Amino acid sequence: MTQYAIVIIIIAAAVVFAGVSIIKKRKSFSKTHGCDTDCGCGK
Amino acid sequence: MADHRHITIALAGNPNAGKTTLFNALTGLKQKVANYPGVTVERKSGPWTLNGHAANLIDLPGLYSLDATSLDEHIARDIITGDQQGIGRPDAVVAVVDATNLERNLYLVTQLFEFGVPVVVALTMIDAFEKQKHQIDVEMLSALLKTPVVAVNAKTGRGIGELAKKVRDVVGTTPEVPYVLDETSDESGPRGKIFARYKFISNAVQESVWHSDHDKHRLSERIDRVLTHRFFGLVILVAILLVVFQTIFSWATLPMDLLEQGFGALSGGVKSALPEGILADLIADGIIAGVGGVVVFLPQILLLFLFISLLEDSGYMSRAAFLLDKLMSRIGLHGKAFLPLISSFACAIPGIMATRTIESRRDRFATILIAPFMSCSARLPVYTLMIGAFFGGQYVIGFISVGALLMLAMYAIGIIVAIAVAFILKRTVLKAPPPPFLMELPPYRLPNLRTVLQNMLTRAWLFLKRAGTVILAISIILWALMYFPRQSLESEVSSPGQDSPGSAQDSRLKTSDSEQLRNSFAGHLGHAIEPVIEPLGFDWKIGVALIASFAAREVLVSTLSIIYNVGRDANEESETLISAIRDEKKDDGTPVWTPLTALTLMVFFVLAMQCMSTLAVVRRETNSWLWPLFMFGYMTVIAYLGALLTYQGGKLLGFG
Repeated sequence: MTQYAIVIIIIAAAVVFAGVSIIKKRKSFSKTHGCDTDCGCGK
Repeated sequence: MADHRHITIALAGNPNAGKTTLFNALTGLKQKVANYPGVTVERKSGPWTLNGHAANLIDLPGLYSLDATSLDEHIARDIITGDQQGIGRPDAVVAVVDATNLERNLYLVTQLFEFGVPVVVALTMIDAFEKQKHQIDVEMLSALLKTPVVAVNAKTGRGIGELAKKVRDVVGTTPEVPYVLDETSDESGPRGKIFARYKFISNAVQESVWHSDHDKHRLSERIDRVLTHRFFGLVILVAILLVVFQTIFSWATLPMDLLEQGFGALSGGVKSALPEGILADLIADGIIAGVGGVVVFLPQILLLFLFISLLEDSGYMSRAAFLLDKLMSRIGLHGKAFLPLISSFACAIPGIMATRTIESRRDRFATILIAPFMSCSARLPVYTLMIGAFFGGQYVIGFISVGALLMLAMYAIGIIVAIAVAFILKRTVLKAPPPPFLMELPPYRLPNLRTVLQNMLTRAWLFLKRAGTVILAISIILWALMYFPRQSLESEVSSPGQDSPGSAQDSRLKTSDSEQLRNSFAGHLGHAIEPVIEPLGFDWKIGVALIASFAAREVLVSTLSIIYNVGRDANEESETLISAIRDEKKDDGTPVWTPLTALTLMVFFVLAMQCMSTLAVVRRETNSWLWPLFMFGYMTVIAYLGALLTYQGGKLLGFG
């Protein structure tokens, strides 16, 4: 039962993480600076 | 001469040319900041006294050209032509030119001449330029440009008074364009104008600037004559790429194998260390297998970025882009798109990451959207399995292997469809004018090892960070879809005290795996999509394999082996799996798999977006879920239509 509980928590966390990533809106490329600081390119 | 009270002067220049510092020095603290009507581009203006006459100084957005490809350029162009609402045509333009980047900065100046507006060049960064032991003959440059040039320093006040005087002098005059377009040139239209401007700029800079490293510049020019040659340049480029990709493949093999073995051992270790059960399954088959499947590509990514950094730092990348621009521009892509596309033959993930070298957002996205059509190494196990099962040992004209021809055809289909899609995308959703090619060719230099290593490690860290977040989450979800709901048979098989002969136990385990898959959520999905994939000649089992292979394309092979009770350790060359595929029968006794089904599956795999890691990377790179969803949607439609055409067309022609 403990194993099931841990696995369910992990799956729920994965679903929430994926869901939040979808919902979370990040400002895309700005007009003047090419990209925002969170685009990963390090500019 | 214009009325003193209505003098309007515009300040134009490249970003980071020192425009804002000069604007502040000229207007003091009396500037006004507002937006241009209807857009959120900042508009700054302020008073400037020109030899006792009041003028209004407008700071234009920072721009490289007046080609009106971006909003900033559009606004600047409208202001200069007098078309911008609420602002009259300026009486003169102060062109801020960074002396340390003279050629690039002067390009904008040549365009200003063509708009017929009087121009005064304010030469900034002159101190930094002289510190680099270069010298510039300001009077000579002024004579060549046929317009006043003033060296300024906003901080010390050097040249500020002279600039005001020169601007006052040019107001009301008509500028002369100091070059003519060569109508007899091979290049015509916008491209011809670009060449004419750069030819003039290059001559003007050569005449007026003296470099202490003159010999180095001459050497770069000599090397360029070979490396940018229309024929030899391309031959050398192909040779360099061959060496780079051959090296990536050969050097990456060992570390990739080691990583694969490492993850295998880790997975085995977890299974033996943890008590048998769901938690061990999740960690070993879900987390380690899922994340490990992506992390094994790390050596390829490290090597690719090592070579990209070396080529960029040495100055060669600019030459390669210059060579290929003409070719790529025919399908609407930037010359820089070639490297990401070729990299995608190894794996689309480093290819998509390599698109970061493309500055234009639309060109970059178009390249990202077509990169997965290049047949990556993960598709090879699928091709190999299908060819081995149905086309092995067959030859045409006696010596050409059908398998090799099919393999070549799969690569060709990917390239042809990618070209067609890029052509359509660049004329529809990513519509933009043909990308202007304004690239400086920096002098060649020895790459800086520290910069190269730093760049490589930064990319590696970003890749690993992704594998540990988005990819981890999706792996867990996919594992759960294939694992639940659990079947009671498993407990029966694995329960202690019920020893049975090994083969019988194995068989029951395989049955357990197969039954589990059939009744899992993924299995139900397979049944649910069966009516859709039936016209392609696929049954629900192939449907399950298609769904599972969304985690990674090569998962199709292990999924098929579980479905056909072959065992998890079967690989693409396994005779058992090949026999099982050949022997699989429908309810009516006809074979499920035919050579036509195999060919259809291969076509589907060339064109389909069956890779969650790529989608996760696209989401990250585009900073939006819209683009990965669009990519998944349009590629799935193309793959379905391609497979449908193959299967139904093949049947009509009497195959299968």
